Amino acid sequence: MATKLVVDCSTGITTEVELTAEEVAQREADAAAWAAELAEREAEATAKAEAKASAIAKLAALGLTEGEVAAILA
Amino acid sequence: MATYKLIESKTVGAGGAASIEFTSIPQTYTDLVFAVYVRTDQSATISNMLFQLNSDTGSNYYSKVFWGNGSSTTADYAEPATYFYAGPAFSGSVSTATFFGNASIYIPNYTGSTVKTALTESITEDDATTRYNALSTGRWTGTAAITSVKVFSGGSANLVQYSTISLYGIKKS
Repeated sequence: MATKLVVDCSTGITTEVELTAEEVAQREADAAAWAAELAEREAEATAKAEAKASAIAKLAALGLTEGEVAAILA
Repeated sequence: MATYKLIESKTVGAGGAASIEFTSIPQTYTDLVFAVYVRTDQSATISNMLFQLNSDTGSNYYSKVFWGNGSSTTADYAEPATYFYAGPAFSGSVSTATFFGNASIYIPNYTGSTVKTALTESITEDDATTRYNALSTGRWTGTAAITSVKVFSGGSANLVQYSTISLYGIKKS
């Protein structure tokens, strides 16, 4: 069972408390939400990188040099 | 002259812990500083540092963070979120054994009646090619004086044994 440490600063007493069912459920929900958010951001980053690579390829196909492409993207 | 006083320090025991929460924080200082030294059991090189104020689990936190790992930089955000998001401040279980992430959390004017802000800085050293430096800033829309702070990681990660957080109070006069 997962626990948490609670420190009462007024007394200095530390208590190790088991997570309630609600807290466990919240952690699981947070984990799922976090994983979904990360996946979304990774997909967004991948799409952006792919679009950039595609744009570079198209510019190169038009005859631009690597230096010229870099100057445009800078 | 400002004084800097240890209020409480807590180290996680053998079983690990989901979080460390400081409660009944005395209202006799101007600012709070947390010195954080944490490793988690998350199966990754790094773990995120998150924290909540006054047990508020609502979507009342707005954070921006950026970090670099020696070869690239990343800007990220979490707004609104149910916690302050401070980026990769903890070492995960895949990082070199015995290495713990180091961070500080600075919360100014915590006894005031306006929106609260927090600043963090951190480093996760891996004794290898990759290490993460992160800086974050955020605000909590609550206006109550801060009486408790809970520090934890994302998902279901636990803080492992010997993880330590010390709370200091700063008094400006």
